[in-house]
Amino acid sequence: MTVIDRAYSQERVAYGRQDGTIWSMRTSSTVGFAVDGRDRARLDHLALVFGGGNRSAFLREAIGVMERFELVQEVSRVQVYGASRLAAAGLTREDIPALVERALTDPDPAAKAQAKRTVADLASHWGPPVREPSTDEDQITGVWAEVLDAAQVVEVRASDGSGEASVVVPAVTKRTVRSAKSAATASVGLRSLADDQ
Amino acid sequence: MPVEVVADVPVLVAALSGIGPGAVAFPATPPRSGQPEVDALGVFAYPDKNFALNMSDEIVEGVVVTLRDTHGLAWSAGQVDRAIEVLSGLAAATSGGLITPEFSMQIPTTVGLSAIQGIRAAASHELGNPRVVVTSDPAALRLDPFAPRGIPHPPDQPIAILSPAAFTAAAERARWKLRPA
Repeated sequence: MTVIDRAYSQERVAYGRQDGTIWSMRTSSTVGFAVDGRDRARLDHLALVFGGGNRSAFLREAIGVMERFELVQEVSRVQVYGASRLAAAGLTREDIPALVERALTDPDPAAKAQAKRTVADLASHWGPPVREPSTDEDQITGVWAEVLDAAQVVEVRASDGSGEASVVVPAVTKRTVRSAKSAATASVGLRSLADDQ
Repeated sequence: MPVEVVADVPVLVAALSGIGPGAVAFPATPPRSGQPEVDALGVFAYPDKNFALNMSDEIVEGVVVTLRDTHGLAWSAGQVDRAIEVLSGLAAATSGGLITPEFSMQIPTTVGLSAIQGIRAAASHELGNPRVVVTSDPAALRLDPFAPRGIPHPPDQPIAILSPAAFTAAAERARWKLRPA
């Protein structure tokens, strides 16, 4: 059995009915594709898991994943070339900082010209990221801070002639001290500003 | 809002000069390769939106001139273009961007030029928070966490400065904590 997917067109009609917009204004278009009968259940399952039951939503997710896959494969190909260049130059990974330092301070004119062209080309179609304000859904923000500030414990041992004892205490990390110092400095600055006014 | 990541030029060049098992392991975070820079780049292979790779014009220029340097790695022009395509492709795929560095900021003179470029980029007003610079520069690593002075920057959001290995480990720990229950 062959099934033609109509998810895109269904979504478009639903949208048009919902707010009265002429649906030819939408950027989505109907794309038909054939699904073998044996694969239909698998498609529906994946659409349910990754698209909330919406095949169009699933397809968008799947496109993103496959694009990343393509990129990663390309990275691997470039790395194979890169490793061969490093070996051909008789160098190792440890030599790279010095190579970079030299190239930055005294760049090859042809390389510099290519670099300028590359940046101009990138800037013509790519720019700064667009960032929305943080929301409660941004779990990574909290988790990242937690990971960096992970409370560590140290065991402090003491001994005298009568025996030995140990106490486990939270370790104050360099990060904690610096963050506190930075916040305190900012507070002092604000207070002196208020005093001046 | 993702973690804003800037890797300096030596990290990016080293990441492009070693072979990683990224494609083999996709879509999982690739297993460690033993090459910290390659592993750090592997963090961006995983298709979530938690870590955004950002680059500035001076970082892109630095990568190009280093790879092309005829007295060094001597990459062909075409391969350099390909390398920039994949780096910018990874950056775009992770919602990172081409950002304007912040020049009016005090950075200790002990820090090397590449790491300075990384810190300038990470301090860009175009980025959200939190931010991290990935570098192997010892003087830069001693600044962690770095609170930029001389520019408007929230004092409670210092820039983390991590080695490639520390960044990879932290990213893995964060993803582990975020795993579905």
